[in-house]
Amino acid sequence: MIPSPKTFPAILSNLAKATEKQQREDTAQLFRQLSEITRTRTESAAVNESAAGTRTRAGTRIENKVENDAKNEAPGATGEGSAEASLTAVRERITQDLENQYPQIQKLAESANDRGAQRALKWAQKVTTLQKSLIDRYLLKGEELLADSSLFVCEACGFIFLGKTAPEICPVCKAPAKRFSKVS
Amino acid sequence: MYASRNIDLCTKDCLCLFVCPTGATDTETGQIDKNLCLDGCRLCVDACPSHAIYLVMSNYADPKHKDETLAGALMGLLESKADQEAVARSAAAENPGAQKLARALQKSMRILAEDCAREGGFMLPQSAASQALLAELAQTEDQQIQELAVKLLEK
Repeated sequence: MIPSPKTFPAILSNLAKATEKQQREDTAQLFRQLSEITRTRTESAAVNESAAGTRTRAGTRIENKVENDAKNEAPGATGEGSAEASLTAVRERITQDLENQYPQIQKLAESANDRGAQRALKWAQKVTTLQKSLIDRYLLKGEELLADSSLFVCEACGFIFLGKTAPEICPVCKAPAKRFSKVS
Repeated sequence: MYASRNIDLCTKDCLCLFVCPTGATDTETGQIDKNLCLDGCRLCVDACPSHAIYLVMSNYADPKHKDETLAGALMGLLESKADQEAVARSAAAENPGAQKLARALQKSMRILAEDCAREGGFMLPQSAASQALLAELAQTEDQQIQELAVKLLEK
């Protein structure tokens, strides 16, 4: 079964990482290029779609996505919105994931006895909760929040850390400091 | 199968140079020459006191079977993360802090999405799901996508 085109960029950038680890740099390079092209195609398709006012989105297996689809038309879905509006839009979506998606998929992973998926969901749930709290702190304090601090992202699990230097160990996945990259 | 050196861990004790029968471990780049490396010999792997050398496989076992409902749900979650990445990318460049936060969120969303892909059957390019995706992309009308997918299928 082929998943929806929206999933292609991340699937392909993940395959690029897998190939890097197999030390096949030329193949990794092709996967990275293909990932970027599919991303720009998906994004321009989204812009055209919202311009034409059509609403033909591929549904997903989780039923409560109908509600999400309505939100896809919210400001910030396509084109450029104010930074604050975009952050608020991201916040709304991740709140839905935390309330609906994660608990439901976690149950599926448990009943399928899939330990890898349970691990991925547990990390993702923590990372998402912390993303939400970071957005809330920004919406409350504004630019002051980031005045003397930097943001670091854990390359292993996606955890975002706010501080002067990267933490010694990632609190979510236990990766060491060198796995963090500073956001410029 | 060939040996590879993790420079981060290498303590320059050079025991790999002592044991290697072909000189593959002793090169001008500091990396092991995989063309000289003997398939599966692993003398250097066992000799290294810092565990800085490991073997890169040429073949990988088939991944464990994924429950289809679960894999589908993980793809749905991936889609949600892709949407969130796109929303974060659309943030305007008015305030430097907000802009930075939006960039961090984009990166973070992508990492979460990639983890869904891994657990949803796309762990390795060698997996059946990955090969089927490439075959599909090789059929698209978009010429750039088609060409890259064909090249990757040949790899």
